[in-house]
Amino acid sequence: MSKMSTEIGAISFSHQNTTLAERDLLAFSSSEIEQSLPIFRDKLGGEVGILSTCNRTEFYASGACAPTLWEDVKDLVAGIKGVRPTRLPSPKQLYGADAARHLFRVSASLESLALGEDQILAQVKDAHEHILEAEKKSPILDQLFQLAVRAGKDVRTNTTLCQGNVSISSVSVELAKKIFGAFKRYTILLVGAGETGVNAGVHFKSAGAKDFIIVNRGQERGERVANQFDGEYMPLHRLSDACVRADIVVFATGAQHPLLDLESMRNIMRARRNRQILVIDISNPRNVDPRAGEPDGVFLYNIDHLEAIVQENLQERTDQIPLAENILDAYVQEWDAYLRARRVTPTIAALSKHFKSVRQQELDHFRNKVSEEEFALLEEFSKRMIKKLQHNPIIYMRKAASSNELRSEDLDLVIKLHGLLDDD
Amino acid sequence: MSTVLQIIEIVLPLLYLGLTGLYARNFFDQEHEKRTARTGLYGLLGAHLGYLTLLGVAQHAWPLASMAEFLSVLSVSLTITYAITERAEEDSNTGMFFLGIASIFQVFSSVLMEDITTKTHPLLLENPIYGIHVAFTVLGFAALAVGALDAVMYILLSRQLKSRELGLFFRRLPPLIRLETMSRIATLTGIALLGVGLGLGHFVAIYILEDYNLWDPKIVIMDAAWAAYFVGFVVVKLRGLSGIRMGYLSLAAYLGLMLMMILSNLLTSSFHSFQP
Repeated sequence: MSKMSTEIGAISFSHQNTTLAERDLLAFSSSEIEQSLPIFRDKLGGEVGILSTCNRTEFYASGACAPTLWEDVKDLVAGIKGVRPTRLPSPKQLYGADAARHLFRVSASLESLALGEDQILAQVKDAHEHILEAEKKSPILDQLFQLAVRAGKDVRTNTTLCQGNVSISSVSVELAKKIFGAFKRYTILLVGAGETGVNAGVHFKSAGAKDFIIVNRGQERGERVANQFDGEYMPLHRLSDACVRADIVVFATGAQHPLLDLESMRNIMRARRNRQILVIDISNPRNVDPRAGEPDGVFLYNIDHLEAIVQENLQERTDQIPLAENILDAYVQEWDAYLRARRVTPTIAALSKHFKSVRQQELDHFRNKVSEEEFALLEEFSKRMIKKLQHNPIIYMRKAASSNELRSEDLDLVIKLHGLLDDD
Repeated sequence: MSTVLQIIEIVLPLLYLGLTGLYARNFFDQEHEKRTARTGLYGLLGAHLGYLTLLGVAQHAWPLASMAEFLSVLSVSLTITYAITERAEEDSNTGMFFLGIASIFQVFSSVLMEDITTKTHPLLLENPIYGIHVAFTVLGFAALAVGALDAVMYILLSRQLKSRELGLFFRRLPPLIRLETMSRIATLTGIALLGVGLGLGHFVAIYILEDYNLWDPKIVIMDAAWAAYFVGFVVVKLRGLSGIRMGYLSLAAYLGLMLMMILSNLLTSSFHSFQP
């Protein structure tokens, strides 16, 4: 009877142990994963899975290769990436239950650069899809990734780890939503057509904003960005007019002096008949005099205010880590139970094969000694009989393995009693 | 029948307060499931409507003969308004506010309620136009209460946004603009309904009552309060006051209206004592 290792190994390159340049070098695109999975599998002789995102590249393997995974794949990775093996950084290496817990933590976004981010769960699902689509089956990694996806969902459902925004742009959008609700009917004014302003605009557009005004010192760039948002360009000297029309104003310029002061804001609010306005100043130095936020109906937030909200949300996420770890404990236990149950699979398969073989021998013995009808009855009788004889030992082995009560001596006894080693 | 009604009059405010507590718990701690509160809301509505029906049957007239009954109908109108809002918006975070004020009305109603065996109802209640007058007036008060509650929520959220201390109100309440719109619509609806209600009241008084005096203090106070509301709304509209100022104004106007109504009923017993 053959013995198959069910342990898993993992190697991880992430923001914790590599530079951005190293992660870029090691990143695998979706098509690269598809092409290289069979190569890795042939080389290692076991199941292989690859998880690659902008912040991590990880290899998971099951089988005899698991303990020496990095040594076994190093040259292959270097070959695929076209670099010398010595140029590759040292990975974090994990084995057994530690490797499983690591993947569950990744899926729950506990290992992410931005704690509680949502994208990683979809990326784990993609890695799982690649494993399922591979020509050769990978039952152990299939089970591992299934559990990882379930663990990720469970943590998101039963903790607030992924709630609250943790980037300046998303906090700005959240604030605007709390004032205006949906953005369809409201006008967004971007003051400054640089990268920061455009990024903020993209966030508002993806949240449903349709009407944009771009105010910029340089006309050419301003008009280009206005076209990008299907909006209108206005020169900087018409900033007050633009503020009268807009509902949400994002300042992101390199101006070294305030572009909006209290007096201008008072005039703007008079012209707006006190309609609410959200002013977001993400410039450094600030473009809006803090006193401009005083009039009723003006909600002014600068980069420090937004950063404070981000930090508060991050702290709330950090407070959820112990709760998330408790949830993952249950999944690690489920994984252990699965592996233990799998350990008896070869014995069960051998036992089943042994009974079938005995049945076949006996049937062959009687084949020409009885009529066809009698032989059909014998076939049916023997089939039912071996099924019943196998039932209790198999159920016992599975249950005992799952609850960690099965000793190796028990398995040896089953093997010896039925002469399963001789069958091989 | 009298004993049953008396027991319900004790239990009803307790149920209101309990349900307000349940909604408050859900507001402060979102981990709790919401189904219990929603079931409780419909149960309470059933109980309250059942109580009013029983009261109507017992006295063979609409239960609108006294200030206590008026407050009870006002309370149930507010609760129905909230139940409809909760169902439409799929949002139970404003329940604490609506049920809180409905509880206050019901507590006062139960405290002021007289025993049915010693109470008589005005024959006026059998007049259909009088019934419509009361119905419009109650709905007007309920709409103005909704407007004032939305204004309270606007003020709370606006202050958090202004101070940049984004706490519970920021997380739980609807967007600022929606609160402002809902408050404006409810207030406008309230002014219109109350205006029609008061107009019908004058009509009933002129054509049905024999000793009607237009300068009765109660009539003057209520008409003046309505006119102040109406003028206030027009001024807000014309001058374009800021949202927060309009919020404070709406709240102050409603409190003023309620205060005038209570004072006019406590201080003068001339006209419209709700008794025959």
